[in-house]
Amino acid sequence: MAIIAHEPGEHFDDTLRSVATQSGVQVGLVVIDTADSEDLPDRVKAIVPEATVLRAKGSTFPEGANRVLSLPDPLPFLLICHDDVRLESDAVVHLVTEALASNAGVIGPKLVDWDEPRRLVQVGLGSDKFAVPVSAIEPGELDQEQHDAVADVYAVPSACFLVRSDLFATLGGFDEAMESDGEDLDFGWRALAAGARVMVAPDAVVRQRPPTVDPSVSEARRLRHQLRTVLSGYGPFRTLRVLPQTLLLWLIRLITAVVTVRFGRARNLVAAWSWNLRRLGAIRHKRSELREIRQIDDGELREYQRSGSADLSRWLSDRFGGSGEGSGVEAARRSLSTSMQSGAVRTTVVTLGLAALLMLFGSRHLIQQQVPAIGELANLPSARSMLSEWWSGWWSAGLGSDAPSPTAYLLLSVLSYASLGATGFLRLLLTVGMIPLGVLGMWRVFRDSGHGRAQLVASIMYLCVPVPYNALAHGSWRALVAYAALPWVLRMLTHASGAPPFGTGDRAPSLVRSILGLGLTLALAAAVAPIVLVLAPLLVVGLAGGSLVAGNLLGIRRMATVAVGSVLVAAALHLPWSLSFVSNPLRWSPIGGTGSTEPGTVSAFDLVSFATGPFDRSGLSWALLVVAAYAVAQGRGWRLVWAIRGWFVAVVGWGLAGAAQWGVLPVPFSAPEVPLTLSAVGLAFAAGLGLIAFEADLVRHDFGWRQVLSVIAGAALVVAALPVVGASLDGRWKMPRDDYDQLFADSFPVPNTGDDSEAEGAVEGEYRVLWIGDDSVLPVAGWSVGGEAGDRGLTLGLSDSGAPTALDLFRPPIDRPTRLVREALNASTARTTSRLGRTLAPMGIRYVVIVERVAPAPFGTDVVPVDAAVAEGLAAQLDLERIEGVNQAVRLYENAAWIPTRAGVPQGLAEVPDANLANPLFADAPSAHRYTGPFEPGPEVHHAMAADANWRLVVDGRAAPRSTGYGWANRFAPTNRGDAVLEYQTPIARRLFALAQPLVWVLVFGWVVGRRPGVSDAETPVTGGERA
Amino acid sequence: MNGFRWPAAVLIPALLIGGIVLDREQRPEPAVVADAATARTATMAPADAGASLWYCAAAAIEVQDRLTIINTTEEIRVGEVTLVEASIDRSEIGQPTVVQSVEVPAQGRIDVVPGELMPGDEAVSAVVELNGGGVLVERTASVADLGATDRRPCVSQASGSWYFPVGATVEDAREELILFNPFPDDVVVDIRFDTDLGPREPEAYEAIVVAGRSAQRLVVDDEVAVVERASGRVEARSGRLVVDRVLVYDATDDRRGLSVSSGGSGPSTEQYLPGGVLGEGRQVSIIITNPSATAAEVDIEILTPDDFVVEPLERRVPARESVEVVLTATSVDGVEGRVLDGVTDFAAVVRSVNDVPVVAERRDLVLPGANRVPGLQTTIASPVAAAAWVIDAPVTPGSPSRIAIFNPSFETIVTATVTGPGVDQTVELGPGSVRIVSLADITPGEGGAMPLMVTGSAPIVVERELVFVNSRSSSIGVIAE
Repeated sequence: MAIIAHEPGEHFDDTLRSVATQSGVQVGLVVIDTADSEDLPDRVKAIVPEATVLRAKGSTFPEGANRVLSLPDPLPFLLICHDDVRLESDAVVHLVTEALASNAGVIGPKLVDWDEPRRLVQVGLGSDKFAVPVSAIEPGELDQEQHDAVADVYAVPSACFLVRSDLFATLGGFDEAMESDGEDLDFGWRALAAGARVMVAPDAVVRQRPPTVDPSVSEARRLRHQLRTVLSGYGPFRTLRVLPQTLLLWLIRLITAVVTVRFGRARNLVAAWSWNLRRLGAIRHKRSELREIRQIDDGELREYQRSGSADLSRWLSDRFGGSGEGSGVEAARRSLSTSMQSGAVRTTVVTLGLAALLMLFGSRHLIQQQVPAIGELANLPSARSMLSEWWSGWWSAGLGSDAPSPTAYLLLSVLSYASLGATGFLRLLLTVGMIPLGVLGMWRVFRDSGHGRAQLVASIMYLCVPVPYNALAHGSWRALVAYAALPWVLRMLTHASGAPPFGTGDRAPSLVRSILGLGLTLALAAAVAPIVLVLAPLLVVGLAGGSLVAGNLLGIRRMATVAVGSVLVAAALHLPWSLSFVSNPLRWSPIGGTGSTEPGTVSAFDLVSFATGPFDRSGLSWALLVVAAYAVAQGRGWRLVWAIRGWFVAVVGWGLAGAAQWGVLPVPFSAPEVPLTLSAVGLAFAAGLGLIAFEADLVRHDFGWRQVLSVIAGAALVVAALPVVGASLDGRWKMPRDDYDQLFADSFPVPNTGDDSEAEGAVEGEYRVLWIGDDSVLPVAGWSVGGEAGDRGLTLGLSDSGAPTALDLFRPPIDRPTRLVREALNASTARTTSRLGRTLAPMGIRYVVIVERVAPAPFGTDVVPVDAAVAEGLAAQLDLERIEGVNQAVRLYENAAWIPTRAGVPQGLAEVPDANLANPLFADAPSAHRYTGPFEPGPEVHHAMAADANWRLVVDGRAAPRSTGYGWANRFAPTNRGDAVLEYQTPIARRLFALAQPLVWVLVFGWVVGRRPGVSDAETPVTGGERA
Repeated sequence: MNGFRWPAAVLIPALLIGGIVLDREQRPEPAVVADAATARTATMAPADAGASLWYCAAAAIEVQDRLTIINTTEEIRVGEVTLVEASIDRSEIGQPTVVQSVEVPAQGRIDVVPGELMPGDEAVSAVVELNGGGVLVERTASVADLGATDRRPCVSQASGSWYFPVGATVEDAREELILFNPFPDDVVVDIRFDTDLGPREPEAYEAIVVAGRSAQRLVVDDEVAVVERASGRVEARSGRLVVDRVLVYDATDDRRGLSVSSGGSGPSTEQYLPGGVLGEGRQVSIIITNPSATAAEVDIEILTPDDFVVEPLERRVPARESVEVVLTATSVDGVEGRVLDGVTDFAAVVRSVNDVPVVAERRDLVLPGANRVPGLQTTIASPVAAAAWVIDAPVTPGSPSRIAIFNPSFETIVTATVTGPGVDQTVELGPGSVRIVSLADITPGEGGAMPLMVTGSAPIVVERELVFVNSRSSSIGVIAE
């Protein structure tokens, strides 16, 4: 018998005594000390004088156990135990007897609780094909002899088991790469593959102490060991079949973990793969060893395995059945089966399933083809370009700026890399995917309330609100992100409040954790939609308003504190980019866009029914208000208070949207759907509370109007769902069928970048495009035009050569060079210039585009016309050539006087040169803001980027003197010939900021995730004590 | 955790319903984006503007024709005059361009003679660009054989459509159109006519391509022959251009005169013609063109300096057609028209009562006679009134040249002031009245030419009538921003 001991406690004496008092069989004891305890030999000798103590300091359990392989004269059987078990006096004899009778290679006892032996701990282990252990019992299950039959199992816990010595030697013992958590299942797997029987003999009873593991550490090990077993346990053909399934399953687990804010688990899932990929050599060796001893093929092995996925079964059981405390898979299956017989659970499962199908059906064309790149739903550029733009310290938007670039570039590039180049799918997730994410958030709001149907009603209600669908049709990414984020914000705020049902009122989560957690959530959403930093406090304003009306302020102060604190945290996480919001004067445009503050065309009636777009013209969405009103009519106690709070959140949203339409706000919103996300959240929240009121409060009353009201509310929910069903028919949620991508790709030539000089249609010289139009239809972010056209709510934007991308959705603060563009446009509108093209030429502006619809005609039906004075001003310019036949939705002009953004111009010429005197230079761009090419002396180099001393031109190793050209651009005057490099040299401080920012994010992530309560994964049975 | 139900149950519906009702009743009107069809007329950029731009499609039709660039500011203006040959042979479009740098002294003027810069007998179009505002450009055209001269301002904007209600291709008349595209992109136009013998849509005038930065000269007589009235519509399918009409009466039938005029590009529901004159030997017509697809019901109001009451004339102008209204001071045999007994000077307002925009033009043919300088005057009506106008006054002592100042408001009394070097004249205009101011009377006696500003305490309309030795010319003034 070998006991692997690691600093055992006082109980170890009992362990030793149990060994010493074994009846019916001679037991030779070897204690392997993996901690080099000084007193251990004496302790052992005191009780079992004939025992041997081996030192194996620093060894893990498998390493310690494998020491027995080196012992001389091995006995036929080996009994291997942990140091926290106590054997019944007849345990060993039962094990040996059964092993001989059944010809078992590995056999284990019935493990029971040390202190309560009536409670089962483990009776053998099963496994699915992904090496996820399957327990046949529920933790803490009473032993009522229900598991007392000798049975073949897949593995036995390493806490105590008997193995044939020759088998142990053949298998090479345990896989020493597995410290714990999975080493036993791996051993059993290999034993089965070697043709041995693995069994459990319940007559042998062993008590085991509760494990003292850190759940997160245990989970990390378990995951990587599972994967190692899968990678090494199958033959080559079975591996090829199982590996893709494994990948898919892990991907689902990863997405689930991220979405449910279980970042620790997500980290462990990723780390498991990287751990194994670093050990591929060892895995290959293990596979070859197994191949040599394999006696049964994978098909036979498969028969021993549980069908399906144990994880999935357990997940389903947790959500739809069982005690919710986590359960063994078998119990989970039984529990799920039982639960599914319950109407409530069946209804929930069926409804959610239908909702998921509806989402898929309604998005089918968007999935098959692509989400059209309209409005803010721009295409994603390459991950490399986004990352390098962020890293370089130079923000090339507009005419270039040293302002900090948005954190979104970093986050989007990371996501893009993670998507392995599937940027189309990533776009789908980041746009249409915001809808299920928001619905999931609303589901989570009520998750801990103990009312599962409230989750269902609130989620369905949120799914039926027209806001996200109209946001899709209008191309408003901000509104979509706000729609996704606000339920999570609401969830965190309600839980932070500590008020029932989200708390007990006298015990609330830590403020710091709440602030950091919500701050992190806001920061993620604000990367794309900084407007959520405004919406979150407004949500609290609504909750507070409702509290005042309801006469109960419980939890409001905490929520307000958390909201304010989290906004500050989110802003801090976006430093230094967020500094651009708080310059003097406070800049609204990066937060809410640059639209018109003039009165709009959407009536209050339409706002209240969310009829801001093509989604629901039938008016059935009014039924949403009926559903939400039920909670106020029916609710009592906290149901009533929270429902009123939810309603006032909705009122705040409507009020804000209405004020914008009245033109009384000093700042614009890019789309009416943005403030309406508050109303959507508020109504859905109230609807969920209505369901709870139905279950908890209706019972207090006799039959009467309340019951009738309940029926009406239920019917209203069904009616409210009809528009979603109708809108799903076109498969694209009424989004336009086309976008400007191909149109602009055809209209804007590709600049020759050196590598593709032979590319068809490539032109010399990079250029910019000037966009003019309303903020709601432009495919780029921009600056308010101001001046002559300022009152018209127009926006002007700039993009680099070609069609705009997600890089163009963000703008630095306006600076002098950009103001020059604005002034030039205003001069054109005022007809004080007839040569706008010449004025724009040094900026490299080759095209001027007026956009009046969010999508090209005939798909974009809503026209947002540009003021005639602006359009006529452009039409009157003598050097802008109108390009006809493009599309009705745009007016495209080519600047006859443009010069490339990097050009050689005549020396000493202060004026803008004629286009034919400017020659393009430095076509090659090996990395962001680094351009190379040959240079012959003669011209000066004009670089159409805002003048900055960190731009350097080096020709053949000699730096060229830099000056400012045309009052704003970079001008270089090299005098030698050779290979030239024009690049932006990032300041050290900017690099340090760029390094620090992701570190801060990781730290905050880690703090929030690491201190989450209840992180322990109840999905997995505990198989053994922790070993160092 | 208890709460009160009824405050919320009352307040929430009240807020929602109240908000909806208030929105319906008092919501501000949405911002209206100005429609592209805003009425246009030549406008002089303000003195502090960064640039001035003038187009003259028919800058010169004969070698002696000239452009006069008038600087009304205290600063020197420099710029360029770009001349483009207007070829009568379309295959030769895109003739070489001449660019001439110019410098106009403060409060001064220069003449540019295209014939000197671009020898040949073709017409020449011009673009005048200067580095600041406060500049007016006029062209003086003449037909040496006839001794006829026409002088009027160029235009400050291109347009996609131009209307020429007045036109003729009878034996004693010749009409040409100069199509000038100063922009880099091509423009495609269709030209149609409504004549006294019915509509004419010559095939040769369909889809005419005027290449970028080129001009074409079309002889209307070649396509629309022998009509007394040829009201032309030049409409671009894409792009915009500048169009001038050259109309010559060659004195065969006592009618002689020259008009080199841009068309009307701003149809409107009210069109103003301040400077009409009736009298012996004058043939006055107002031709109204309706470019839209709906018939226009128009009233023609005649207003006199002495507030003589004349009953408005009512006419119906069918869609895409023109109507001529002949006005006479006395009944004339064989002439159908409205007899305005006792009326000499008058202003005419053409008002579309059913809000269909129209373009009006007045044609004055003054026949030779005692104490009469013969000639042809055509005046495109002004679609707008403005508070400030500028006219150039090339006046010789005793010249009968004059300006007509019209107050289109029927409710406001307007004080109009005429200012210039050594000129300061104030006149008061009653509601809907017109005043005639003799240029010889208000300008310094030594004669010469000077720009005059005519400003009103409320929007007014100004028309200038120039009488030369052997010809006459009239035109609406230039709005001064």
